[in-house]
Amino acid sequence: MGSDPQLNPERVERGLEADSESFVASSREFAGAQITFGILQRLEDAGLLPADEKKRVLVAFGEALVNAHEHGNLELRSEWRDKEGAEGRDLFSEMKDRRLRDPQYGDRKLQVRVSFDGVFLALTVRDEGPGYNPIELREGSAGSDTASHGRGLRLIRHFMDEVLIHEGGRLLELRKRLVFP
Amino acid sequence: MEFLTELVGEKGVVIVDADLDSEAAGEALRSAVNSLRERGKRSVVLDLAKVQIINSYGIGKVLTCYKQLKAEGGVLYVRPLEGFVKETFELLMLDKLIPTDRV
Repeated sequence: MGSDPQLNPERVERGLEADSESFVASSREFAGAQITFGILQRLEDAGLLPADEKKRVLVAFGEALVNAHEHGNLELRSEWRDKEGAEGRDLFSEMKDRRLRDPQYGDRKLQVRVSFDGVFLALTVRDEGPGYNPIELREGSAGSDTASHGRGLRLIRHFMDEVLIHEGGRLLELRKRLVFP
Repeated sequence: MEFLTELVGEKGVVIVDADLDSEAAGEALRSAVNSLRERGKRSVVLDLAKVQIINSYGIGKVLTCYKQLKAEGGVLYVRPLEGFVKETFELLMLDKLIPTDRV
């Protein structure tokens, strides 16, 4: 996965040596937004991120953002997807709508930064939730084959080279090497 | 968003022509499978050839359809997979759960 032969380090010397972009959004703003990462297109245009690899990165970044939003800022529990709520929908969806309207959760911010330093592509996502115990998450993330949750983290770990958890689970850092010596 | 459905013998087929990574696509999938169930089809085949990206949300929706059909004595199949979708199915071991059908 990490050593795609299409990667072309020479392009770095000629053009895209470093690049970054960032944004801050409240839970409410994030819920209604279409997030795009221009940096990934620029890396693809520069020959550093082949189309197949870009799909993997896009999915990993998307999973990380949704995790920080839903499980961090909105404190939603995955197992609620399998429970029926009071309004006839699943409990997860009902609680999500309720918490987005509640300033205690809806005003929490998501800070996102994507950067490329000439070698590594990195995403950092900081949420304002209570954090979590990474060990518990690792042990509990496998899920059964048909469970409605637990697959996002598996995709992230498979598609990225490094997954680092800081600040008690409030800051997630994903890294992928794009340039090889 | 709406996905086309067709009947091939005893089976119903859903042609998924959008990425399975959004609530709109998830709802369209649920709706298409339900329309086949309402027409008495208990064997449903998903054609994912036009899907470029699938994430954990989309996988969750596919599994919801799988469980729903299984509970009614039916089977969910996929047409032969390729590319990123195949990679994701294999990574999450869905290829062991959902059989392939070339219908």
